[in-house]
Amino acid sequence: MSVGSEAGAGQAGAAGAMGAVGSSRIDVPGACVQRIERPKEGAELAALLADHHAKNEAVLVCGGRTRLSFANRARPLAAAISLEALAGVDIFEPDEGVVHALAGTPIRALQQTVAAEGWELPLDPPGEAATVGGTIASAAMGPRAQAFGRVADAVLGLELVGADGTPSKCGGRVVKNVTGYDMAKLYTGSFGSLGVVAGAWLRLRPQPAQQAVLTSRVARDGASFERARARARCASARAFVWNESPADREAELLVELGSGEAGLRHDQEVLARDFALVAAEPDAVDRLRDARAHAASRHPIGLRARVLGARLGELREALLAAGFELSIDLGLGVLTARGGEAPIAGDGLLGLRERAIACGGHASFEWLPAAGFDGIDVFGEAPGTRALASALKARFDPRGILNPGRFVMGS
Amino acid sequence: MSAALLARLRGIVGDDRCLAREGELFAYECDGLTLSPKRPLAVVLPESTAEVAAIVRACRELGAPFVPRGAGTGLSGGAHATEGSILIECSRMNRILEVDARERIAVVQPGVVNVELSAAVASLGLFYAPDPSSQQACTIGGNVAENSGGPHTLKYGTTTNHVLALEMVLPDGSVQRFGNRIGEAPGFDFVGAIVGSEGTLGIVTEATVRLTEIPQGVETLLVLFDGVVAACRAVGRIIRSGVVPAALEIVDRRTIEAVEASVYAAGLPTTAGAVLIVELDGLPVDLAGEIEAIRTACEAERCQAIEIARDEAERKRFWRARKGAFGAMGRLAPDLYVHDAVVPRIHLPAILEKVCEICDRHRLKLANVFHAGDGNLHPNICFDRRDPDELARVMAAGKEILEACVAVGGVITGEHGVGVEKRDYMHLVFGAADLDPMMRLRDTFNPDGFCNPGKIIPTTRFCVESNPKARGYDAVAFE
Repeated sequence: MSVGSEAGAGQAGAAGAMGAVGSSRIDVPGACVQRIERPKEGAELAALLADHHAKNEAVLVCGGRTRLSFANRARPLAAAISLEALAGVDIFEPDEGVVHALAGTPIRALQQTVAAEGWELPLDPPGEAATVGGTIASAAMGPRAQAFGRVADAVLGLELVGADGTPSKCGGRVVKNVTGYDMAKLYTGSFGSLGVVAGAWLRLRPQPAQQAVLTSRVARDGASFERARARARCASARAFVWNESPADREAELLVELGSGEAGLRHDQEVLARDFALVAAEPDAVDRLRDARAHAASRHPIGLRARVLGARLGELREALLAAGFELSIDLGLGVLTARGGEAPIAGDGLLGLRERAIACGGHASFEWLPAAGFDGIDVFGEAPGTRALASALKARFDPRGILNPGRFVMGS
Repeated sequence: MSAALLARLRGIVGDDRCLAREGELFAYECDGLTLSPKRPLAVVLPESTAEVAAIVRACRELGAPFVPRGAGTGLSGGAHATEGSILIECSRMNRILEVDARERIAVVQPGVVNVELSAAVASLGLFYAPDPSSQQACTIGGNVAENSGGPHTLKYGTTTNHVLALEMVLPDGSVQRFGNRIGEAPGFDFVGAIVGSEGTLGIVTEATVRLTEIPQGVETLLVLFDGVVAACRAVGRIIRSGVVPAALEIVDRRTIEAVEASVYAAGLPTTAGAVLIVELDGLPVDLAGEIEAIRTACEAERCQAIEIARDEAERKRFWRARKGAFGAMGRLAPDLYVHDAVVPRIHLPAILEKVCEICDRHRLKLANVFHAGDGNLHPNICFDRRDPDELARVMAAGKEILEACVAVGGVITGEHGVGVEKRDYMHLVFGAADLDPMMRLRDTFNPDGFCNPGKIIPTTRFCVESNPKARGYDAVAFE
């Protein structure tokens, strides 16, 4: 059974294992937190951080707790600051196509709010409980990033609270802005290590006039894979996913298209030349995306790699040979691999990471067995940037209280 | 000029690429912001990353600040020399190092001219999407520094959306690569932070950029309105319709008159109060429906007429009205102050009225050409700098325009950058607590400020109020 075929299976998975929203204990790699603070307003968040800063107390910052396993080992933590109560959509301008939401706002609720006015939130993070702040902090992408782009592309401006409790803002609410450094890019994907996102201005995109969700069983061979990859670039593709397991005889192709009526018909006709596609459930891509987050209950290793399109097949072969189940976003070059057989060192996980780098990209470990963390940076390291990253962390968080050790190892 | 530094620089690049004589420096005393010139101590013209690194190390060791520069087309003074600085001009690093059509990637040196990259990859069915108005001259390195936009930003984004990786000489003279070919590297998004940093974090010596497939279908519409406010309202209706045009540009009557009297004449009726240029692209089968949506939106605002380009020649004619606008404005007055501010698009009609009121009150000649789809205003004030009273009114009006834009949720620059021009207006948007993280970022890369000093970050809080020089538009306005 592949990662994709778990869609909707409803396992407790990683989120449950790490301490779901509302629970009183949170386990993360390297640490356990039993004191959870839940600020309801930005000022309260600022006061909490100022207090922890004054006491040199390290804190875990969390949102919907869908990705807490994706981190290096934390240094000892005094408390967790959960932003679940700092939630709400306070400004939505349908005529402008922008929205402002507080960090703890669930992505799914925000999607519904904007959809009522014909807009679409271009964020697609895995996990039903994903929040605005968590999605920005972890730059979490789903299969629809093919159409939506990066998380950073949707972020117009941010309100933050610094490590010492000082509130600040960056960017703005307009769709084009070069007023000062693009700080939002720096904060997005920094896993809360430079500051805590309290709210965000997000740009919306019009909902496509027509959508179609299609699926097909496809032979699990290299030629079929490359044919699917070539078709994944069709203009209306929102998600184009190839799911397979080494044990299966066939792969599953799951495609979501969105466009004007004529464009959609055109692309469906083109795809039909290669694949016997049939209609799938309208929420099939949502269920697939969330199943990727849940797979931790069955698989001790979660690996995500992104490589150049032409090298995707090469890394696919290597991961299959290592026994991984795969869910591949063909238009993005992203491989989501779940498995439990690969050793860490040698030709194991680190060897696969080297392979991903050789294919023009990188690989990170979304979760690992407890013993797997020794000496490994789960995010990987951009060559030569360690000193700069540590210096940046030290300037933004000189006492090292924000998610210490989890993103910038040793900081 | 330090003889030791000059000798060191000449040792790195040779005599012919190290300019230090008075006459040689004249052309480098400003960029596109012409009203606060300052000559550098010397200009060096490196041809390789190794030369840039050696120049930076020499400057540091001998105590000279350094300023990176591309083609010098920037409009905010980001490449202005500062007291005692060395200008490092990268225009000779102008090779396209690699094109990978399969992955739609190009690797270029910083001095590659924007439009030449698109020309070089056109035969592959690709183009480089950011298209600033100066694209015939501006360089990719300068575009990276300023996060340049252009008319097609609405659909394709600004430079930051197209840069995957960078090689940069850091202010300490070391060479570092950031990012990778997939545009997603582990760790902090340094590439995202460097793009738009106006050369204050280091000197970009190589950029890996994303190329875009030339759309299968393009339709260009020219819509005539009685006035610019009605055209802005039509833009609002288009945004709400769900259509995302590739470009939505407005040209006002005064600009039309100037264009039609110039070599850029496009045959536009000078009776129109404003022209809206709409460009749609994508699958040809989808474009007919989008044209109808545009027609509905514009007719609801009582447009005078809608023309659809019948062929490529007509499409180019429509665009001449837009792209020739800045050149044509030379007919209106000796000097032009090109403003750049952004407002939420829903406020465009009201802010245009406000901008006109401000300029009328200050008795100034105003022409508007702007990226309406992004809410990006370019009020162009035509004036004569030799008239001190008019100069003072230009500056006063400019400040009022920025304040009006910020008051409705806008910002002080959408694509020209802060540079020295708007450095002391940063407080209109950001308080000290907002600027502090920016300084922390800058200091991480550039702790002693040798690299492009005096840009972006205000010299003192509220210095526009405290420093009369900063308000004046004289020769030392942006010191």
